[in-house]
Amino acid sequence: MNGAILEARAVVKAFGGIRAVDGCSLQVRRGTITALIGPNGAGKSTLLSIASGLYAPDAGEIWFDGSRIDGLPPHLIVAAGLVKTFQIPRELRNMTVLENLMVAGPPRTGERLRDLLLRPREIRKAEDAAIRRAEAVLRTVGLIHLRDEYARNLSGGQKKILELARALMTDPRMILLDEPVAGVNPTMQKGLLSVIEKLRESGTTFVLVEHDMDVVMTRADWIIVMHQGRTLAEGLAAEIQANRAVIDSYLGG
Amino acid sequence: MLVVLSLGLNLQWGHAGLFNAGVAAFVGVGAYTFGMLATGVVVADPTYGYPGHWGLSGPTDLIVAALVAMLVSGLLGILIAISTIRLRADYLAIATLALAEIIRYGFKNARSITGGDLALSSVPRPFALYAAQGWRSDGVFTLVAAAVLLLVLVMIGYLVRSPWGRAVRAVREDEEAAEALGKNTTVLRLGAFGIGCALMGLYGALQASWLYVILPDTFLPFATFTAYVVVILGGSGNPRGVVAGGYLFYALGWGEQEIKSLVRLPDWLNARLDYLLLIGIGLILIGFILFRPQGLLPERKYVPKVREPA
Repeated sequence: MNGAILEARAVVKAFGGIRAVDGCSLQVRRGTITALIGPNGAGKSTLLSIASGLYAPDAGEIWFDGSRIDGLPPHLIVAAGLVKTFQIPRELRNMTVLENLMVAGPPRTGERLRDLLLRPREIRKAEDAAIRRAEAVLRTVGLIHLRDEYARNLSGGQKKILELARALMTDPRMILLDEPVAGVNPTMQKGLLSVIEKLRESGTTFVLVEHDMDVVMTRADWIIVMHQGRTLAEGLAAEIQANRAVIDSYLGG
Repeated sequence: MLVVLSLGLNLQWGHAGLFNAGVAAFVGVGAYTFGMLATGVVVADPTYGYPGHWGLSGPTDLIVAALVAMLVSGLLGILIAISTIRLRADYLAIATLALAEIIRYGFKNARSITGGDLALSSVPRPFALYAAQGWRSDGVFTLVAAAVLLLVLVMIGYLVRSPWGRAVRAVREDEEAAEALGKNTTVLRLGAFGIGCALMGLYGALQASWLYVILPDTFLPFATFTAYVVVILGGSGNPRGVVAGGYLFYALGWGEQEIKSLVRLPDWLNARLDYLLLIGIGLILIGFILFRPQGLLPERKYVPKVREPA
């Protein structure tokens, strides 16, 4: 397992008496789509939240691209190139789709108060660039026709796509996707997945938490199974489908 | 004047979603700062209040004093915010409300500095100087206040349309999401809070320069809620709306006075009209919240456009 971009070492996170993540260790190889599967409550989403800085782990370490990131605030982790989408879309409701995208990413020129006093022209330039960038991303994911719609008016599936589009705006090297296709109609699903695969070609690494086994088995390069806060098994799709322990705990006979 | 105050609040509440229930405190700090800088150098007379201070009185000095008042209020706001800004909306409200009362009692009791309940008086009224030259001082004051308002409006308009304004609105919409998208939400909230508080301080300074005396009880929580009424009526998140709300609020009070002076009302009604006005404002407020929560002028959609071709 050379070339790990993300590594969890014996991560523990408890909520009250429940140890949601209980000594979980795993590695994600650079440039892969790695699926993280397992029954509800296995700790998948919690692990992603820890990696993205929303929670600090009770114990253990997270390493991203050679540096330790556990406990850092989310905005610094995003700046390092690791971004997570939310399982339940967290769109900025009273802002437009385009604004949702423009707001994503490390601080742009003009988002610091001191910039506003000094360099209006540079801000204008940076803004123009940001708009073009956001429009390009919207075209890629197929939301360009909704450019100036309020995000609250989008359908559930469109909001999921917006989540991915916002993540793309942060120039990530790695994206953690928490159930990106659940609730998205099949056509859009295909589009979304082809966007993900295209990005993988250009070097972006993905972790995919997903319950849709068709998607997982056909699209993921590597599958990690979690159960009760730990990794239970990992391997290629065929190996996982043949794994007795995985079938018992999750896939079912 | 009220509009300047409400614009400050609007920045905090309408744009950044920060529920500041201590508006009065920041106004008070601004007023006292201005008052202390501007009152004459007279030895404190414990029986009469009227402590002596720096005695800045020239026109430029007073502008400086007003700026210092803004600065002090703004810095105080940031200082308070550093410890409380992580609190969720309602807790921030409680914390700031408590703070406002603490500061008010501070004003009351620090008699050697503020004059306490006896008031800090003889604040120079720069606008009265013009009266000698045949100007009406209230006319001059109105002009100055209007100029200040215009300046503040332009500044706020620029701020909220800027990338910074967008990031601040993102924090209002969903702080966790904004954080996960790479924003340092703490810094953004501090900035919005600080600027809002500075505007409140500016309002305090204006008020002091107009009223001649500064009394601690001017800064009751009631003053805070007045500002909220204006923001809610006008439209939170829209500076123009806040201006409209300010005038509407003022018009209600003015209308009441006019009715009193023009129509001979029976005494029982005359005596109660002030309270009826308050009840009326309350009803209007409830009506707005139920039927038009976005206010007179709702927040406008921001449609970013590329200005210059690539």
